[in-house]
Amino acid sequence: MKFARFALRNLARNPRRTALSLAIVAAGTVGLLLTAGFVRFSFDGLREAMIHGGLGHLEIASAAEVARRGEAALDRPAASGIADWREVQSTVEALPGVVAAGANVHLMGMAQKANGASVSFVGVGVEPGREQRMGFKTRLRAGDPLAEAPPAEGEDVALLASGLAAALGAAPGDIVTLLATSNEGMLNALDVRVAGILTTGVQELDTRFLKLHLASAQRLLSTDRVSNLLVGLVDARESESARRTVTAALARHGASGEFAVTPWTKRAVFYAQVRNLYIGIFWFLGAIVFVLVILATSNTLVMAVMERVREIGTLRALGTTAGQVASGVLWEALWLGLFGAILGGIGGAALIALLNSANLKMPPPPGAVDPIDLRLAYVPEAFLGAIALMAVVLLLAALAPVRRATHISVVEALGHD
Amino acid sequence: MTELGRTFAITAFAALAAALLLGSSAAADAATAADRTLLAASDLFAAAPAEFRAELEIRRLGETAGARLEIFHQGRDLELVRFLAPRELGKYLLRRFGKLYFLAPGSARPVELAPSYRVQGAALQELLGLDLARDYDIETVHEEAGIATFELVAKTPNAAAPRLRWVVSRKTRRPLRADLQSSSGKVLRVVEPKAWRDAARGVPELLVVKDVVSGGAPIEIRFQSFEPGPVDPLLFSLDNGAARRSLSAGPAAKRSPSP
Amino acid sequence: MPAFRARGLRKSYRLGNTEIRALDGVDLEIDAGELVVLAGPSGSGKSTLLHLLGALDTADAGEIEFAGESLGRLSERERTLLRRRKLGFIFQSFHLVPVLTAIENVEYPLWIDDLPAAPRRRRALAMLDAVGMSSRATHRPERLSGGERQRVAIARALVHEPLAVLADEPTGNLDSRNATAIFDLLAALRRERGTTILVATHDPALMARAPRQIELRDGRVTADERREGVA
Repeated sequence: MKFARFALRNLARNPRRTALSLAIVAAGTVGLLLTAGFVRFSFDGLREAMIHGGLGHLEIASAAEVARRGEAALDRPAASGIADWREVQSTVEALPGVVAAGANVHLMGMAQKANGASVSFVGVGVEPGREQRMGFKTRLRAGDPLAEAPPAEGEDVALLASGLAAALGAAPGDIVTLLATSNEGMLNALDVRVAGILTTGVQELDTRFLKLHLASAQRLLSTDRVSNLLVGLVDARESESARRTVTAALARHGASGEFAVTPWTKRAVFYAQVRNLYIGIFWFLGAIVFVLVILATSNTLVMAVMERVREIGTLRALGTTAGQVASGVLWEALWLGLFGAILGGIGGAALIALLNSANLKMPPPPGAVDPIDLRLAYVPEAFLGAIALMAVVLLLAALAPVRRATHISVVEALGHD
Repeated sequence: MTELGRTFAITAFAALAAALLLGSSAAADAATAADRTLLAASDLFAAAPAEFRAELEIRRLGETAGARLEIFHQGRDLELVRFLAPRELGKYLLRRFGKLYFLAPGSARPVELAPSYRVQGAALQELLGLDLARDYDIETVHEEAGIATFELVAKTPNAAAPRLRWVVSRKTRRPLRADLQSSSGKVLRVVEPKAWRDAARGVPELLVVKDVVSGGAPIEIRFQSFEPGPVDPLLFSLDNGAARRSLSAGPAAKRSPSP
Repeated sequence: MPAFRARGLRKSYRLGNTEIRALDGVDLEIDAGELVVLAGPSGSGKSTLLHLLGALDTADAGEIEFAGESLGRLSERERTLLRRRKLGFIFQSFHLVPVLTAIENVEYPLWIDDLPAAPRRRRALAMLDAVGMSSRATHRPERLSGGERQRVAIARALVHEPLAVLADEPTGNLDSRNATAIFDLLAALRRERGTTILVATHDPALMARAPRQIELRDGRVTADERREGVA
């Protein structure tokens, strides 16, 4: 600590060089913070898209079905679904932290418009009111959303994805006939009025997808069962503990072993893959920043030491140990790292605010429909981590100059110009 | 042997060989009028009345329950299939002039299906006659021990299969087996009549259908009743469903067993 | 016990491919409290001798004793601590730390030896006062004249009450008036404190005023003259 203040004075000796070093460290810090902010925002966005785009926080499905097709399967046949789903729903919705448990029916078949072509579809029957409470987003391009109340027989409606609607030549208000086969092999047809056109955000899926009320889907499949229940929680971070609570509640109602309760993280394979990719990219960029800052600041620290060779000789002559000389250099490096990182933190925060206010857009990723907002998150851990990292980086950068400073012969140093 | 004699012998031998070759192929190729008559006569329901009503059950071997259907037939081009299971009441398949439609209570208009659509694994053509005379040309006929094997090639797109091997007993003029084949000759499905309700008219009692490609247990089609008689032509109307709706409350419904 | 005793000192340096023999067998003894001038032309070895006696360097051959302690047996760290506590140094170019004020420069030997702030400051101020620089205590070296800087350097060399002070050409960068004043100051402080003072110089004026002059030429002692009634 003794040499900490001394080091500060030494940094002030050459303001321009110190400013340059601080700028390098700050720039590296800004780079890390922007990257961390982008990655965090992307994670948050992707997580919300996964959860509120149709995964929910938890899935309740038949244990046998999950064992057969895996936790990550996104469609489950209603025929092997949950029969007493209303009881399960009310049990789960009574638990603390649960917003709602929405029933879903997954189906597939053919869609036909009068005098038009047949197009295959995949779809889901939902409870619109519960979806809304759980914060599920339906991106409507035209028309109206599904009404909360179940449609009466003969008044079924559906939302068609844009690609499917285009293939059928259907617009809001048109009647489309859906054809589907139950698991028993029985064919059924149902006329639906197109209430609206939506997009799933995924181009491929938009050519096939439709959404209708749970009652309509059950009517088409001639079943009372549901494929699964999706549970929405107050806090996504409680998914794992909620899973245990829900499992226990279902067990208490005598349904132990009958149901599988799966958190969204196990079903969002895409999220895990993207997350790992982004983390890898972040560390790669971090390594580049690390190396660049070390190289740039090591050079300036070496220059600072070489300019003070005679002074170091004097201090050694006066009785300063090599360790104390080294500590002085290390403190200079540490101050550069800390101050540079703090400056970078301030600059980074300002830049994040600026970028966020600019409402920039990034092009849609492959297969997606809409461009993505360029937004960066404030990541407090990254701010603190960057400060610690830059301190370490600068200490590493100081190793070469410290070696120089402590290995100079006192007599030679005294005679140095 | 003299040279003349040798020449004569060779010529005679060659002529005999040619005659035998031509004769055998002629015997295989030439579909005689008798063959064509046999083919037409051996088709399922070949001699059945133009209009009839039948009830049948389609069930996969090993399963306890199957699909119960009521069929209204009028001429070569009109058939109505009514599903008799309580959950399926109100649903129909309607075959009209080569096209197949599905009618359901939930849909105001008929939905066109592929003609090869199968009910519980069985296609309508397999149930009610393949219309061999209309839809197929005879490529070859092979006879052995009184069993005629016809190799048939489809001549219309509405045919049940691109190729068909039709095995018939000349004596009884009843089909023994039908192999529905792809255009390359690969056997796709096999239909075997096992029992006859009215052999003279070609009305089967039991058909067994095997799907060679996808495997699985064979499908039994059991005709439980067969009633010749006039059929209301409005049953086959695409636009007017009144006649069909009245079926639900009519005698056929009363004859349906309770669930 | 003499302050310094040297026997058979030899020291060589390599300059490119050439080996330069800076000291070639030097014997001497310096008593405690003496003021000794090491005289000789450039390259005579006087700076080298000063470095060896000051434990700034090690001899190739020979022995050095300082206050009865053999320097040759000390480790690098022990030599450093010896310099910190028992030796003071004055350089031709003053060698003050530019980022420290005058008083902080003077405090330096006490500071690195972990003396608490209050007594450290007190002693430094007293020392600055002794060299006539207390009014410039808070000035950085860049604001001091050459003579003033050397006075501060003298204060720094004496603040920790060393047994000996080694000065290498202390007046080399000063005009004659300042040079005289500096030498007078050294002499006065020696009388007050009894500190042994070695001055390497080729300034004739200083040489004339020294009570004892050891002359070096080509790395050897060629003369050792004591004078009465001087300094």
